[in-house]
Amino acid sequence: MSKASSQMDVLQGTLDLLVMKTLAGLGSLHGYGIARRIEQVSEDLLALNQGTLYPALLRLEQQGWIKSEWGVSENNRRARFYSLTVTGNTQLETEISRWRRMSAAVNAIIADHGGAAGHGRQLR
Amino acid sequence: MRRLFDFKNRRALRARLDEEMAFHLDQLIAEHERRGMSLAAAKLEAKKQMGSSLRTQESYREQAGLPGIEELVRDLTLALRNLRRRPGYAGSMIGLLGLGLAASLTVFVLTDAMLRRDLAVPRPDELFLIGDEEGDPAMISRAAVERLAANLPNSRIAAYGGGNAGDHAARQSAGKKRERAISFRLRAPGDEDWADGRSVTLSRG
Repeated sequence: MSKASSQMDVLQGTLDLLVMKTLAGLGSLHGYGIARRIEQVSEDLLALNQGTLYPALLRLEQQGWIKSEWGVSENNRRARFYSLTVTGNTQLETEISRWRRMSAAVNAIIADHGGAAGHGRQLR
Repeated sequence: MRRLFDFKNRRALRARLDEEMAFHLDQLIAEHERRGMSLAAAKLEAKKQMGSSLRTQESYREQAGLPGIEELVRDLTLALRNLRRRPGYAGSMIGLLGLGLAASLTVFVLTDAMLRRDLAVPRPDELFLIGDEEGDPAMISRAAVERLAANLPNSRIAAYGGGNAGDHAARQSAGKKRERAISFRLRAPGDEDWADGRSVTLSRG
C-alpha cells in the first residue's frame, strides 16, 4: 500500500488538540514545523491539509491559548513562531481529557460484540 | 475582544498569512528536493500538500474578520452604488416602499385607536348612542342635550352633534360587548307633562 493511500485525514475537531500538544512538547514552532511534527509523530499516518493549519492557529490565538511572534527560522527566513500560553496549557489538559473519554467510549462500542444481538428479535 | 482587534488589523493579518504560507511552501519544496525530487515535481507535490490556497485565504479571512459586519458593509456599498447608477429607478422604488410603509402605519394607527385603545371617558364600555325609533342616530338640539344632561346626574354627555330636534323618542344602545337598550323620550314645552320639570323619561327597552 502506498504512503498516500494509507494516510488518514485529521479528524474534525482534533486539530486544536494536536497543535497544542505539539507546542507543549516542543516550545516555540512555526507553522511548517508544527505540520511536520504532527506528521512525524503520527509516522506519516495523519495527512494534514497544511493550509487548514493557519486558520486554526489564528483561532487558537484569538482564544488566547497560543501566542505568536516573528522570528528567524533555521535557514534565516522570517517566520511566525507560535507557543502555548498558560491558559492554553490548562485548555490542553481539558482537550486531552475530553479526547480520552471520547475514544474510550468509541472503543467500548467497538469492543461490544454481543450487546446488539441480545436486544434483537430472532427470526424463525 | 481579540476578534475586534483582528478585524481592525485584518489587512495586516492577511499579509501575515501570505508570508507564512509562502514560507511554508518554500520549506516543503526544499524538503522534497532534498528527498531527490526535481524542482518542478517538488513544487507540484508541495502545492498538493498545501491544498487550495483560495480556500485557506477565505477561511483565514473569515477567522480574522467579523463576517456578519463585513457582509453588511458590502451590501450597503452595493446598494449605494446601485442608487447612484440608476437614480430614477431607485427613487421610484424608495417611493413605493415609502407608500407601503405609510399604508401599513395608517392601518396600524387606526386599528390601535379603534380596537385597542379605550376612549377618553371614565367608563368607555358604558357609552350609549342616542337614536330615533328606527335606531338611526338622532338629531338633538343643544337645549335638549342640556336637559338630558341635567336629568342624568350619574352620566355625562361625551359628545353630540347639534341639530333642530324637538321631541325625540330615542334609544340608547349599549357599548361594545353588550347590547343593552334603554329608550327614553325628551319632553318639549308643548307636552302636557312638561311642567313637572322632568324633561326626560327613561325606561329600559
